[in-house]
Amino acid sequence: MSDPVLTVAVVGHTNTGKTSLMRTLMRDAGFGEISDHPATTRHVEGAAVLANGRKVMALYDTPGLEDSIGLLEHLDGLASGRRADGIELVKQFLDSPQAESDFAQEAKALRQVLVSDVALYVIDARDRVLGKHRDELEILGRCATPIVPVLNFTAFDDAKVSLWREHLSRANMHAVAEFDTVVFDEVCEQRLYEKMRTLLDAHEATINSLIEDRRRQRAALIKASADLVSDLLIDAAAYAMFVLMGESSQAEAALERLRNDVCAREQRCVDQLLELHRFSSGDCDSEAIPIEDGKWGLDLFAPEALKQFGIKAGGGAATGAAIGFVVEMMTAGASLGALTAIGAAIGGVIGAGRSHGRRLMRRAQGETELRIDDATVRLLATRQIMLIRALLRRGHAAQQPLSMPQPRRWNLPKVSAPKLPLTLQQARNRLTWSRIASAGSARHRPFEPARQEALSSLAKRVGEIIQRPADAAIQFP
Amino acid sequence: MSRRPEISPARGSGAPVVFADRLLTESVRALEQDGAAAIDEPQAEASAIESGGGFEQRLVARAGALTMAGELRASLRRVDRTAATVVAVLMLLALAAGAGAARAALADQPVNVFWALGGLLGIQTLLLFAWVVLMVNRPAGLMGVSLGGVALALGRRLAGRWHKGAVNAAAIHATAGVFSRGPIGRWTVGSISHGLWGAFNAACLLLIVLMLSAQHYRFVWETTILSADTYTHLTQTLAWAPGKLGFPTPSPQQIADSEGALAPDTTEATRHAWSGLLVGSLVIYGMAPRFLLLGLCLYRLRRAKSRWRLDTSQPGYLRLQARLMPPSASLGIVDDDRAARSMPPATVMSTSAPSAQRDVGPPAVLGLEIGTPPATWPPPVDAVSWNDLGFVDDRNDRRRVLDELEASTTQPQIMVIVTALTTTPDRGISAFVKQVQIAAGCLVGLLLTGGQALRVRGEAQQLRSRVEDWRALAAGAGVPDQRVVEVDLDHLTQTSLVKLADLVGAPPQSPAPRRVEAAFDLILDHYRHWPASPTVKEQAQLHRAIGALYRAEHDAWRTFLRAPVDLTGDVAAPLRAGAQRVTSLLPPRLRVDARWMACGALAGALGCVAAATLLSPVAIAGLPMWTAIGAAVATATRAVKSVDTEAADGETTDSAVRGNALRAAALFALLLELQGRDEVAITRILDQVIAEDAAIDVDALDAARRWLDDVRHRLDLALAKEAPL
Repeated sequence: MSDPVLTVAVVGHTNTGKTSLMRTLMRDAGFGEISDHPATTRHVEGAAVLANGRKVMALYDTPGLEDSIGLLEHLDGLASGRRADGIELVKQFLDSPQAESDFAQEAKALRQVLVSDVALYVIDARDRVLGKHRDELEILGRCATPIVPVLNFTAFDDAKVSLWREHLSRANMHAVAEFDTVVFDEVCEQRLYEKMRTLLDAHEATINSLIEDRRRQRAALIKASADLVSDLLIDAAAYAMFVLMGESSQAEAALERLRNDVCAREQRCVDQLLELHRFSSGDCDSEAIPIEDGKWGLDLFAPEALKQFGIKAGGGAATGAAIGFVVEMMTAGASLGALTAIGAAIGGVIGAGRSHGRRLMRRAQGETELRIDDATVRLLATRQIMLIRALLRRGHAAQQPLSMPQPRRWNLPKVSAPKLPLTLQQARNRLTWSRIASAGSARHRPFEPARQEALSSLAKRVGEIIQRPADAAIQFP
Repeated sequence: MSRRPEISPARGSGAPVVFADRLLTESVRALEQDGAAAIDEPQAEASAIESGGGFEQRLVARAGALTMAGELRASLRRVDRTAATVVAVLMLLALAAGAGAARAALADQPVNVFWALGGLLGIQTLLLFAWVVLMVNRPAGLMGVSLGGVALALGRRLAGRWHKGAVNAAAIHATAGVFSRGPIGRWTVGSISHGLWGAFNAACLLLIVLMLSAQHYRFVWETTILSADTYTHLTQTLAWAPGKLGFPTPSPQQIADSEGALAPDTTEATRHAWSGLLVGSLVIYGMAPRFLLLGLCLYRLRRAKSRWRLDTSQPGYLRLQARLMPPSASLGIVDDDRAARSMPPATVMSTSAPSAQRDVGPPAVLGLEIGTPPATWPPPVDAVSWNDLGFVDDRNDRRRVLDELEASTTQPQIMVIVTALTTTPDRGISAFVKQVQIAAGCLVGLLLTGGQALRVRGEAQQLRSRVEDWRALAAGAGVPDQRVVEVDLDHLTQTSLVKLADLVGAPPQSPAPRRVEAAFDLILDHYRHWPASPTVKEQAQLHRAIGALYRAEHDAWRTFLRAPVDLTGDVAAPLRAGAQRVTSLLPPRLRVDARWMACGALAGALGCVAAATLLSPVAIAGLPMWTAIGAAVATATRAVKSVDTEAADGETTDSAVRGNALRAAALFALLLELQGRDEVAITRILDQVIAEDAAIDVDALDAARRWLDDVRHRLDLALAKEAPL
């Protein structure tokens, strides 16, 4: 367990996203300072990357190399008349007064490169390959430290990735990594570590343990997220409210309560997801499908919400103004009674499946079950899955609030509502599974093994959907 | 039963984590999950971090250090006692049942041996096989139907009844969760099942031995359809194992003697032999397997408990990971910013005293790190012939330009350095600007191009801060603010041309008169004569008429729309580009509105048509581009239309077409009127002019007039806020 700690210097031209790369590799959105201005970082700041609680890598953020052309000229001036190899000249420069004045930033970065095992040279892939970049590479090349060029901002349309690759290979750098610090991609991160591994034999074990740790972390994160969503879905699907047929005011109040309870439960899930992914609620905001201040902008029961996610309201509920609910009755054709007062609005769906003794009894006493419909359950699922996918792809350097992907990219197939998965159909008949508690609903029991089983199998399903490729259709189930 | 967890009160850090600690951690998770809120105790987290080790160990340490821990431990003990009580009660019931079964088996005289054995061993043997099958197959959920499973469920319910409150509920949740799932659940259920059956058999055996000791029983076997041989074989097979263990067993003769109710009372030896078989079978086939399996289950349960690890991927645990086991830690600032303090103040060049004894020549221009030359190079200014110094990229270029400037016999009237806004200003550039200033010995102006490229990348905010950065660089290099201008050479507008002329000191041009009122009148006039749903051609006529009003600036707005000179050949691409050009100018809030995107695209595409047909009047009706316009509009709206095509499709009513045509024409007129301003200004003004009136129905002529009046009014207000051209 005494693998040596890998020391890494993060260098590059000014404003290419060195601190962003640090943040993303550290999973810490609070490190350093990021802005769109040049020379935001003016000192060398270190951070330890831990795997399983153990320090495996020390990253050092450095000030940007701003005047490489001037510095190279200066270095060449030092060389004139004498024969000296690159690293000697660099050391000579670092001892000279210019290293404290004109080229202070560059000197700091170079000092750090000299004491590091490897340097990550961060490139804004949207830039053209300019003379100053060539000179930067030239200077770094003289430091006798392995260099891994990292192409940042590759997710932009005007990124010139192939151009950069071509140029870097001309400069004899073939282990180039692509890594967008704003749009996170775990595969890219792994490749970056692999590129570092190819250059650093001595640290192979360290890097392997880091890769393995990050992979495990991510798998755990996906599983935990799927668990949270499944928990929400079971709570929502099993939640039912009993209302007396004769009392219209009571029915209306129950409808309102049900609506509020389910919304509050969804909000809790969103909060938990944000906490789990280490994002604050301020990180979320968007024009398309907004999460604002950590809340969904569009009410769960707004008719547009279904449309936005390509879900067709199914069954009898589609006809009503009070969309998103179903009423379960004892027999077909029974009078809706006072419920019709809410609106001839609510469509009736005949309750099927196993009924428990208490439920039968309550029904026999003239009570009716009120609950959210299948389409709304599916909407709940789809929204959370979208959120998780967006969170998973969000780099910790992203400064703009989280925005959901544009609807057109979701590629939703327009099919009529499929059935809910078996586990949720099961939950429909187990009122005690719902942990949403409110007056008039069934009481939740602290632990039910069957609920646990259902949750596990549902979570597996949700986990698969979460991990579908970025452009795949998201349709629940 | 070894279900009692040994709860260690307080563990020193580094002590091995035992089952009870993990159970406590599980109950903390249950409490946080079911309870109102997560427990936030920094001191517990601190002690967890201090304890070190893996994530699980830290979770356990945190749970142990919580102030709740004592209460939870007590509650866990209560739950455990309840479970023990339930098992004890069931044990008593099993003993009673065993005694009852024994009484029933020996109730009749004479005792039918096989009937009695079947009664005592039959069902439990079947259940034993069922258990084995369950253990091999492990079907989910069926565990609950076994005797042990029922006991667990009963214990859970009773515990829930007896111990109320959130803490107790959490303890029950955790205990039940642990003991009813996975290997622990399997072996717990097995232990209880076998324990109960073992008790049943023990009681049964004891009573039978007692009854056999104290009473006289006659043993027979009977059959109606089977042969006597079958019974002889059966008896001998059954008796084999008890016989090996030393139980007396009946010989073939004794078996034969005991057939039927009619058989005479047998000898003592025969009775002993049959008693031996009965007791031996109970021991071998009833009690022994149960006790052996009980031992196995208890052993495996113990092992399962010591092997059990927390599932740290549970959301309740994983959310703590960032705090208990962060993925990174700051190492602090290693190299303090010493230099910043000792940095010499930026030397400001004196611009008022050019070192000039040379004659003043034409203005010079160079492109610094702008790569591909802009569409218009050198920047077009009326009556100015540039001294073009070319493009500067690397060290050699810099040297060349400086040499050229120094060697020149004339001093440029002004030295314009063109840089791209996509470039971040840096000290290298700053140094070069200073050098150029010295070498040229004249005023230096900074021309920032490529604003549109940066705008496409991000938001307006970024552009503004980038311009400020460049101004800061210019100030550092001694270039005054008024000689830093933002002119996108790829998208030259009237304003930018004015700015350019201003920079190089060329005479300014007079601003063009206002024609938007005339344009709006034209729109209303056409609107009045349009049918319910105007065709694209009719709309194109209107656009050309509006374009004609701005004939003087035709070149400028044609370039602005990037319209083709004529409409022959492939027109789809230029029309789409024109559509895109206009939609990209819309403020962000309208860019998510399918209707306005459609209007913008329509205005752009029809504007291109107008631009191309204005000077060389062709019969618009004869042009083959109508599908291209439809495609351009569709492309633009697809971005917003989402999955919900029904809403947009449903909007192709006549009034919607008329309304969109009106909006598009108004937009086009506004764009032409605003020519001469840069894109940011145009977007800014449009944002103020187009109100949140997407829902207003402009179908009726009056409503259309009111809407246009409103737009014009807002335009006046917006223009008043803008700086004069």
